[in-house]
Amino acid sequence: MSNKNCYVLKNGNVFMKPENEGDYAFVKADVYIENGKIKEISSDLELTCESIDMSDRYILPGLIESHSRAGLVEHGIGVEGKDDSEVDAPIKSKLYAIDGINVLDPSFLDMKMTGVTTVGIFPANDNVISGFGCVLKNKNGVVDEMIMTKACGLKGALGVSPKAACGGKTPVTRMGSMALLNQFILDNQYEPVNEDVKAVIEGERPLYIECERHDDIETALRLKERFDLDVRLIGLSDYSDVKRALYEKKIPFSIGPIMGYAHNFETVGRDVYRVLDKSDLNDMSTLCTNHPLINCKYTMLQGTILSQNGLDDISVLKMMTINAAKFLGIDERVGSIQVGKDADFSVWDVYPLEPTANVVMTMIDGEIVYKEARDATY
Amino acid sequence: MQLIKAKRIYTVGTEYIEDASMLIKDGKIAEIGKDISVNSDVEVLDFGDRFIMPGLIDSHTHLGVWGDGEGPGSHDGNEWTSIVRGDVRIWDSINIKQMSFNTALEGGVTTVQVLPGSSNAIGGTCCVLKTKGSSLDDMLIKKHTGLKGALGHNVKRRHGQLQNHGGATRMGIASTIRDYFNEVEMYKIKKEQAEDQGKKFKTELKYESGLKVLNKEMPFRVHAHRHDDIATAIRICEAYGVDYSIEHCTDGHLIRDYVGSKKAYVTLGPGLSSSGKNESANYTDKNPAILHESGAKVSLTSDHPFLNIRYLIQYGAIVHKSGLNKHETLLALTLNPAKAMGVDERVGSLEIGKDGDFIVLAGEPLTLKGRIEKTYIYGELAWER
Repeated sequence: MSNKNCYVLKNGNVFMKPENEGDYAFVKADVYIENGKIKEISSDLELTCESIDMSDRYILPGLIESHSRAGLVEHGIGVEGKDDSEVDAPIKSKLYAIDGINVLDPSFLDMKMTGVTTVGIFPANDNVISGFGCVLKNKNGVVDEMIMTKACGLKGALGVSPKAACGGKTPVTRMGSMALLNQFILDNQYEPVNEDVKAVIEGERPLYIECERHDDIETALRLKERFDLDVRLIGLSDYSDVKRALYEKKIPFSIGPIMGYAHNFETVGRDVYRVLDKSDLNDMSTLCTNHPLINCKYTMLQGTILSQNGLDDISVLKMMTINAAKFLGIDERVGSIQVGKDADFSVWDVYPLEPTANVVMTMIDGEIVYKEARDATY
Repeated sequence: MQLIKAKRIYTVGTEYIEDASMLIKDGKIAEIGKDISVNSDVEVLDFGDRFIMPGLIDSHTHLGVWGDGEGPGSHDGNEWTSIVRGDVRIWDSINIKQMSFNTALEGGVTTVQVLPGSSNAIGGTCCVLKTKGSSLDDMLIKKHTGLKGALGHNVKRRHGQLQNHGGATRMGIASTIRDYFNEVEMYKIKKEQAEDQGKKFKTELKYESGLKVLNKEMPFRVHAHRHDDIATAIRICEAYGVDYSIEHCTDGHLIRDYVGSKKAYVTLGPGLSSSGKNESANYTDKNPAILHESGAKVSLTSDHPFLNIRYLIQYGAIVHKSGLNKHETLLALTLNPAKAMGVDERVGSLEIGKDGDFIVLAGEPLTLKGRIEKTYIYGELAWER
């Protein structure tokens, strides 16, 4: 049906890795799309199907939000729309974010309008273990039709949030949190509560840990060593103190939201942008808004800020695309403009890191899900 | 005395001088133009191909009172123990060593107004200060720059739901504010009578702030997100004939003609955040453009900490992209808030006689290249990248 439509995105500045290797760059090319996939990329294609003129446009892969609570914390509703955190107990390994997402929340439209095509959605950081995150394609439909990965990894958290959330029940200290987390893993090594948790315990699926302070980050790394887990980190206000360890151990991480403020002691270092340097980023380092902390529609603006603070543009754009895909374990399908991958694009009117750049078109699986209408009001 | 040179100096909004020079004497701009001749002993700061614009101004912040990086022990913005707190003054809460002041300098913000929070129907008195100095007194430009008031969700939640102080409904909050100003009117009469008769008079801090508002010595600054709250704010302020500003004015675009017809001062923001609560559900980045077109006097705010003040200029870029022209966007970040706070004789533009507060950018403001590299206050380097 509609995704069988074929298109050629003609003559755009395409952000891609040239075939003769080298790093990503903007390359003048035509992108040929068929059945929702990228069929061919070249500069002199025979036009056998509908051509969309992309001269002067910048074509990026669809942006990927690596960590958010989009649809779990709904826009403009308050308590009725808050479904990100279940604080009756510190270990909630049987929760699945997919069961709490309202896909009609306006944030999904906002993301279409700002080029975000894939979204990682996770429970909050109020529990030591808060449940399974999922990855959605940002197209219209029921959540089950949007899903890319139903349980992409288990979410946990260290630091002040799980200490404070359960109202005087354990944990009330950092060592209390870790005792619970260690015991949780030991229990599940003995008898896993379900197949998803089993996969995490066996290191086949990630354990995403949200943590800000240097000691919590180091604790998470210690946990990884002890149980040989696939630990990936989120938040990381104290990145500068631990970046050497993250780099050496090749730990995937998602930093953000960089536009937030230090709401407590833990996040004093939140201005991590200062120290981001290409040389200590691994190829899975990515950015997040942690929507609603920063609205997910400003994903690209966070990239602009990194660029303004000295990180090279190519690294910035990779953080929002291919690196985010790797972080979420979906890079075989999305994250770069490459033959065989899903036809997910964000098309920009000017150089995308300009703070005034606009998305003129967003495409997912070869379907146009958003096209700029200058007069749109919402 | 210093002579500042740069490729371009923006003076007022997008008005600029190319290959410009600016002479600063005793912290004030003594001369500004193309060729300024000075004695050889004057220090010359040549910024080469850089761009200079006035230091940014944020007329609605909670700098130094919200516990940035410190936590609840430093929450000093809301004296929420009762719903009317005309007695408190925000400068008695400000911690000038808090990290948020450095954050402001990094964001090129040189002047801020600090307001009490919005938990109370009457929240307390505001002040305006520079973002760097050796003491609070050193930083203060002006005290008594407004009385904070609030309508809607925050007051309802704090007083109606959590504490049962009254103010559980919108009509309850409005009535509380009217009661307050009625009491202030009575206080005013008694005070004047006592003065006429040379009698001893007991000063009530609670009413002194309201008296300044009734006497138009400072405006009533009303927190209002929803369109009905905005209308209520205007209704009350007109009834008492006081000057006012609408803080946030999030739904302003829904009643654009009404707000515009009042030529109201509106302080719009915080941008770049998301709308958790119902009353800011209609937030749009187009609000500043719409309200400017309608005739309102637009300033942009970070409402720090709700948007980190470091990113005020990025909020400006998004507002510009959403339809407010560049000149008006720059004014909304500089001269407009200065006017709204009554300090435009000193700050908000780079003109002779004003304070030498400026920022140095690597490129044009509101572009990718236009990152802030240095911030100057009174002609002195306050921060550099």
